[in-house]
Amino acid sequence: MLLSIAIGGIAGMVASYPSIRLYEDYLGITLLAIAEVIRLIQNNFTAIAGGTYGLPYVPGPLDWMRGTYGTTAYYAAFMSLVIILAFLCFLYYNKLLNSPYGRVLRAIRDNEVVAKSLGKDISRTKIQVMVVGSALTSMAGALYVYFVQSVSNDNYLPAITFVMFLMVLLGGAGNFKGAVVGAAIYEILDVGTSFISPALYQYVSGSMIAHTKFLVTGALILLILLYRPRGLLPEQRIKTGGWEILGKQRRS
Amino acid sequence: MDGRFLASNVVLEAVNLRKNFGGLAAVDGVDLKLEEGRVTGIMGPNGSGKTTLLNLLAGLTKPDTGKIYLHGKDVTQLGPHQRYNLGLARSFQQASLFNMSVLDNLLVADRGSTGESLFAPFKKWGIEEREAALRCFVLAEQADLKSKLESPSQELSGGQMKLLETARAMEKGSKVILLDEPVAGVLPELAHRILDTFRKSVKEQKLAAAIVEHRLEILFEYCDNVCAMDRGKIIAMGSPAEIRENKMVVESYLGA
Repeated sequence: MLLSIAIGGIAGMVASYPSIRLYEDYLGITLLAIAEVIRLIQNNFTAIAGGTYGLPYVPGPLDWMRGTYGTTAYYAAFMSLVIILAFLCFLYYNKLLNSPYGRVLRAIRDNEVVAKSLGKDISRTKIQVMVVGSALTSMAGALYVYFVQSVSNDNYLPAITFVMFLMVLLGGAGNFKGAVVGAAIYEILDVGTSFISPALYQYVSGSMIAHTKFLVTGALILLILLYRPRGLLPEQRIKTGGWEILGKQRRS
Repeated sequence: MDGRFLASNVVLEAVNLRKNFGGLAAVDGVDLKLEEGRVTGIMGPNGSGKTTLLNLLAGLTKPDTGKIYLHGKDVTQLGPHQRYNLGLARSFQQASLFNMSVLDNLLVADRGSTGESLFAPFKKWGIEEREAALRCFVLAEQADLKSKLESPSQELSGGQMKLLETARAMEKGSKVILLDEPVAGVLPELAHRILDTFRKSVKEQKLAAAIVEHRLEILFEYCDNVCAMDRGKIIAMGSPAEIRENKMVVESYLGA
């Protein structure tokens, strides 16, 4: 898992080099393309995770628990591990965004030219963000593989990018607590409605039901963008020390 | 060294700057010296290259030819963020604030903050941030924005936005300050007060300043020397009194 974090970080750095010259939409498209390139290389190159055959069995770090304590204990332990790691990421991001660094990130998002003129190194910051983002996402990927215990490259279609995009939009872009809320809502809806599909089999074909998910995802993205572009939770103001001091001055 | 930095009190020097956009010479062989404790006014009709000159000095645009020296050091190849950290600050013609509170808009301009790091969660930057905030309060007070510190910057009026931008350029560590029409849209009385404060700070802190401005009465009142531009060239340079009498300036301004 540590290895995957490192590789993810390096991949993020490499991917950021052609990307730092690009703005917004172009950046997004380039990164999507890079992800596809990597996926297609993997697909045709058996040395990386079995190529198109995938890996049938991946040992996990907690496998021994199954034998010793039973399957339920294994899942409980695995879930705790995931929750702890997710919480640590949450703490890190929360502190980072409420630091002067978070302020710089917002500044760059709002206006790169002005941020540059105020001494912010845009390229360096973008690379840093890409590295941290990719590294922590790689950790999530490693945990996922440990969980399903196999690798099948069909799991990593570009559609998954849009699912995550939907999660972020749903919760509110510019507020990463929103991303957590959005992810939770999406998963509850996704898993919570899975009982419907068996009931529908008598009316429509299975593949049609499978594709409905993509339709719904796309429709939801459009609806949110149209009617609630800020998502469920609005962006919050940065909480650095400046505010406390201002409060103290006001009171005295 | 070419000994430039020994030369008296010149903080920023531009030598033979030239910039073409397509076939148009936006800035055409400009030499400019900004000295400490002096406010230089830059005037000229629309499209005469004033803003391009500012962009060249700040590093947002790279000149085709020419050199720029800051404290005698050649900064021609440095990016805008590097020049800012060496003490060169600028404001923009179009108020360009970030989508955050007024206080954060000031704080973001703080130089060399420890907390501006990926490792900020593991570093101690609280005390530094508080000191920076206290400095920002003073700047806000001077710009008559103290009561607005908590408001989002979008709630400010156009004039207040310009004031905030000027205040931001005055952040600790600024040695050369370039202002692009700092009092456009500001009430006359307030504009005079702001420029008065600005001029005092320039004198007291020995800053070098340049102001791009259309209104002549403002230029003549607050600048120590004025340079007049037309079609990318500096056509006259001197004290306000000299410029007022200069025939070429009068012609290019009045089109006579």
